[in-house]
Amino acid sequence: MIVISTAILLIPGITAEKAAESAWLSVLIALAVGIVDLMLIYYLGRRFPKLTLSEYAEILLGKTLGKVLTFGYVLFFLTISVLVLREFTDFLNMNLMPETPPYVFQTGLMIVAAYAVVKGIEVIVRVNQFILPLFILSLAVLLALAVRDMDLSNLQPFLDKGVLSVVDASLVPIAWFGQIVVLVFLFPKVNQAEDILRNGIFGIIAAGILLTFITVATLTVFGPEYTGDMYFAFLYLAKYIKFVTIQRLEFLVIFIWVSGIVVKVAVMYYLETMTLVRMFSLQSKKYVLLGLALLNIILPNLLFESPVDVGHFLKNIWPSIALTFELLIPGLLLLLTVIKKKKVGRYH
Amino acid sequence: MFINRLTKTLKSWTNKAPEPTSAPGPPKKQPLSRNYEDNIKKLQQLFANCADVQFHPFQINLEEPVRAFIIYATTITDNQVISDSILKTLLEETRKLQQLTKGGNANLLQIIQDSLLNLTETSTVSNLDEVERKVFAGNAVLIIDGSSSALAAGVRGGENRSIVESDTEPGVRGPKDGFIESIDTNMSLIRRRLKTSRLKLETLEVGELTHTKIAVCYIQGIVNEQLLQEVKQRIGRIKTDSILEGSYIEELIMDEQYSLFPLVQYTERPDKVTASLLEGRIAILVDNSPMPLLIPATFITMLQAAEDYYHGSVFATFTRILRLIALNLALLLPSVTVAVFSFHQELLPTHLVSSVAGTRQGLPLPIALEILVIEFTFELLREAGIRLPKTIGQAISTVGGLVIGQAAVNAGLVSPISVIVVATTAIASFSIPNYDAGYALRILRFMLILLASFLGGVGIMFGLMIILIHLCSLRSFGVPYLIPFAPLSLGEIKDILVRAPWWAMSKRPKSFRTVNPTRQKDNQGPSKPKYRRKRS
Repeated sequence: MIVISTAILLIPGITAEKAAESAWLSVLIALAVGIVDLMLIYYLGRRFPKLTLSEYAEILLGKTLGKVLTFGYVLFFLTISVLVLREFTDFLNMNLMPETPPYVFQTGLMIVAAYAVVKGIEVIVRVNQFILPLFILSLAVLLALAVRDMDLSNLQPFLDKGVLSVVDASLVPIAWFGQIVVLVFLFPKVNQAEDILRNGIFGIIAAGILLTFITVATLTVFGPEYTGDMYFAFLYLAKYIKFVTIQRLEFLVIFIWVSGIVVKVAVMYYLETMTLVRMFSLQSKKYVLLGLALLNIILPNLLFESPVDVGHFLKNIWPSIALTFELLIPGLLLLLTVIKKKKVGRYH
Repeated sequence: MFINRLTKTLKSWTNKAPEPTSAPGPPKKQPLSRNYEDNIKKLQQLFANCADVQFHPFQINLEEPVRAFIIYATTITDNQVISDSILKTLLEETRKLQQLTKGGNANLLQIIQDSLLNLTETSTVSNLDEVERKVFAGNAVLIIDGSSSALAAGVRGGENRSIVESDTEPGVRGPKDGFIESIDTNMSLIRRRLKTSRLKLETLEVGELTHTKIAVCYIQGIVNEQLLQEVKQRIGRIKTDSILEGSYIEELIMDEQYSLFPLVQYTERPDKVTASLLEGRIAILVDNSPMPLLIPATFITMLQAAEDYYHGSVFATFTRILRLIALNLALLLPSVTVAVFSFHQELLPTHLVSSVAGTRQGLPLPIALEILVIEFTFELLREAGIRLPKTIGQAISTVGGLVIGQAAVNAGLVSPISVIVVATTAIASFSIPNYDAGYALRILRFMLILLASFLGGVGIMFGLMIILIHLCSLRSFGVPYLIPFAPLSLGEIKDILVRAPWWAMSKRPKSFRTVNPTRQKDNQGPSKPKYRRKRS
């Protein structure tokens, strides 16, 4: 769910640019990598079921290195939330309300997210649970309505740019799927830790299939050339749909998408706050909350000049950062636990 | 945060107030004495200036006459019963009494209680406090010379409203009886529907001055014990001098103090209470209140009416979906209108744009303000209508709704579109069965209109997310407020979005953590008869 909300809007465009007709295949590759990532996180979490990554990183790497790593993760989450906020405002400014200054949206969103963070992770998860069925339902309706305009010949020729370009294009979706790395910080909060693997894989597969459908839908409707040029390809798909009197469905997309964005920012914001609070063993999270909110409002406008910048960052720089934190570090930590043979029981 | 601080200051102010001095008169826990004069003096002092308390001294004609008196509150007792069953017996059945007291009249009171009075509800009391309570609970208290205890006999009477159809929750099909102000009658209405010893009615008294009788009702073996303990504990914590309505209890035991949403449900219908008990909920009956509380309450219970279960399942399902749409309309219609008209005009179909633009030509107020003004006028009308006598209330609605509405449109102050929007919203909000949920919607509606006028659709989304987060964080006695949706349990939807036929609902809802989930045997659905008539 965290993954779907932003990915829906951006992935078709970014992947299509690189892999063109075979873009949907990259999503499937990403899906596979996502499952591997989840297993990695799961086995790591199983070794320290009562600890979060910041705590067992200190056990494995020593205090200083562990703290540095934790701080790295905080920055990583901050980057995600800043990116999401930036995309969110770009999106609204480009499509809905061009005259409203971006920080108005960002402030509004941060207020909502802060309220959610104050209420705690359980509430955030419940909100997510409430939205998810609506999300899937509306997507299903949209896809069903788009069937009329699909042209399957747009999917051919298959693999004409070679296998490598498909793998290359899958880096972005992999980075999105990899965001399940938040689980390493939430592991101790999960009630049925045994079910994480099963449910997680189920979730990833569902999200992957949904994404594949969406990519296929945008590709077949618009063709690879257009899709590659579009910044928010899925939105244009929704705009394009005209079914008798039902039209202008992009508003459905936008509003449902806003709710997904709120949840995602809330999760990241929660992780930033709680990790910082725990790292410095602070008494109250009030000031951390406030400071992070300000950062989240200022940074999106400071770091990127234009939506083009964001696109560039997402395509070229982001995958390497994301993969480091999502795959590499958990992998290395897991390797370290195996080598050091840390006994599981001791840290319960 | 601000509210918390405010209440803290308020609390510190109220704490500074001096402790209420103890009531004048003799100390309460004082035991009765053996001395007749002494007792009469103390009691007369206790009941001084209570015009409704009657002292009736008389003599019991034994071999040695014994002085006695009875005290009762004339207004809440049945004088006929007092004179027929107590006075007449004690004054006229002297021979029987003499026979009974042959072995000495040391425990005369006991003899009277056991063998003479033909009243079912008798008990002995031994101190002034108890005498006072018994008198005001509708007992006649008999005190005789030489006995340090008194005999209380229940002779309750006085006026009660008769059982009539509920005003607040009327229905077409189903039982028509409604609760009244007497807790005993209310308990009888529930007991009549649940003829089992597993229906428990635990009574207790709350309120140092009102001594309000409260009954905690539940069905043993269905209700979750932990929930029951929690409820009892919370009621036990209440220390107050008065309970005038169930809502006092409600506010004192609620989970979240400043939520707009009702975390405790109330109803006037005995059938609804019974059905709730059968789902593992707990009902709290409060004396002098015709509206028992039902806990725990979830969001969806606010959208259900008792009648859903008396109509066919298809029709009930239709009604429920209708209500769900009404809920959304009542919450969102004005704000969405504001957002569309002021930010997203492109959403309107082209032919509508021109006609709407035509009606809005030359209007003095922007749409947001216009809708706010009409909403406000409507709230005024509603409030005025509630407080006024029914006959004038109708005049108000005519003047307010028809005359002012029509005139405002004709005068070019507001556009007909906004009037239509506000009126539709009002009708939609009336179709929600729970009145308190309606309150919440009214306030949130204003909030959403403001947000929509600032940020359009995005503002509405922000507002909705805040509401959703709030709803997700609410719990009613440990039960998540949005339960069948978040946390999601698909199996429960059969009694939420749809109303499945009874044979398909063989399990109780899991929401209230019942310990006995099975309601009935599976597969009791109707099936075609196996024998067919042979063609003749």
